Amino acid sequence: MRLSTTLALIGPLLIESVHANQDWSVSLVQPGEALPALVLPTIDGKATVDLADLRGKKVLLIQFASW
Amino acid sequence: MPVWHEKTRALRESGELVVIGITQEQHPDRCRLYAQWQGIEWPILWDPFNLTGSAAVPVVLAVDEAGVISPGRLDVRRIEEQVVEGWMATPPAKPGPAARRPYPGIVPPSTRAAARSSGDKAQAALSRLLWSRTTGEERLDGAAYADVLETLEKAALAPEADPALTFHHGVALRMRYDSEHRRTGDFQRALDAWMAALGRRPSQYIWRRRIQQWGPRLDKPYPFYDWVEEAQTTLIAAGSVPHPIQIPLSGAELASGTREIPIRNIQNIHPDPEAALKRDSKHLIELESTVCLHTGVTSKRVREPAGSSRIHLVLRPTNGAHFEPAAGPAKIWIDVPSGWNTPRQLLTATSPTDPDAALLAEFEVRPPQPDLTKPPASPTLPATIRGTAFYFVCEDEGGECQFLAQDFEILIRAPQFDPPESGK
Repeated sequence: MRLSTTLALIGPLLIESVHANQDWSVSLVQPGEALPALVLPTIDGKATVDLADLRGKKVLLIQFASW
Repeated sequence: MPVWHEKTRALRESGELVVIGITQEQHPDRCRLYAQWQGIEWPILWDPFNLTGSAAVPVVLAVDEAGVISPGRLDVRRIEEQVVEGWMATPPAKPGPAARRPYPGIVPPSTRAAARSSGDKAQAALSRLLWSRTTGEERLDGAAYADVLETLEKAALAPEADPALTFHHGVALRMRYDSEHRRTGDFQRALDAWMAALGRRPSQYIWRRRIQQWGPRLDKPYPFYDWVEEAQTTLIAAGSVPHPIQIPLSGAELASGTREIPIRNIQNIHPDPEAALKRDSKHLIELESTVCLHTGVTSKRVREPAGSSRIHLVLRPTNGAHFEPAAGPAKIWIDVPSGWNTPRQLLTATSPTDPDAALLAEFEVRPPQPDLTKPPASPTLPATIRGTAFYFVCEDEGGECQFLAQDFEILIRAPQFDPPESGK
């Protein structure tokens, strides 16, 4: 089997492996640390949320993309 | 995400749990449509610059009452065990150290005292861009865009600058490209910036996906926005008005991935082989080309030949000119270098439903496949794609209308970036 064929077959698996081992070293939201006081707009542009204001509540923070 | 939405419904409705989404997409309107379609009720925040610094999505983090992010990965298949019975019943952890925050002052400009006082110009520029679509905040005009882009470019080029700044500069360029203050070349510069950032930090999958969104099918992990039509149809059938898509979807954003670009087997006929058609000497139509390279060029581990790309063409009327919709769509003829492959040589641009609107066309090219049993051949880049666009255009209101041709060249260059960071 040619190397290119092998790479084509295992490529998706390698990509999934990268996802499973997320590089946290440059992330602002790191397990074990406090959530940063980052203020972001909502996707409709009508409101803002300061992550620091969520203190005192149990929060699930879901980072995702519609794709 | 719909699964998380459903699984957390009871906890959310009882007030025991708050769920917040964050999307790193360039265009928030698409995620807004997705949330409407999926019935997602929790707030979703827009982070196009990836200020949270996530390397990939999806990521679900559990944050306790003390603001501490719980260690360990959450798995939606084990939500009862991990969240409902486990983490929800756990007392808050001792507050840990605050995460690193390179931009502590990313706040709405209307409350930007902290950002101003910090003196960080890049931070202030990002604030202006991020909040420019938010109700009550400053809308950017041409001068403001030029100002923030110059600031971000300087920051990105500074010695020892974090490659995230280069990514941010690219996001800002694409924002201007999508605005009425667009400058020719903004999209290409955005892609160049993203590629340069990714070259420094190849493990950054948020940045990689931003390029792949507009990249060749050979580089697509999945279609990005092929769900949009189904979402709109479903919402309309249910009697709802779908949230509008502000920036039209490109073909690249709808295309599925593939492992092989089809070998050219359609014998197209050149519309003007003798080059007899009158050329557009008055430049009634501006032709802008943007090359989106395969992200494999940032890593020598991927054996995709350098130059494999998707090329975006825009034909934009200038100086009062306009297309004549009744004349049909523009055609584009493509000539690739010897040995290169493209699925078809004769392209049809999008139809001119609006006379003043730009026409779009996309195509993909792939250099000769390397023979891995032999020493590397000479580099395939730079390479030049040549072509001609054919269109029916009218000079202005009541002016002359005629078929014209415009020859063009597209240079495909190797990306420029500094060596990867160690350990990234």
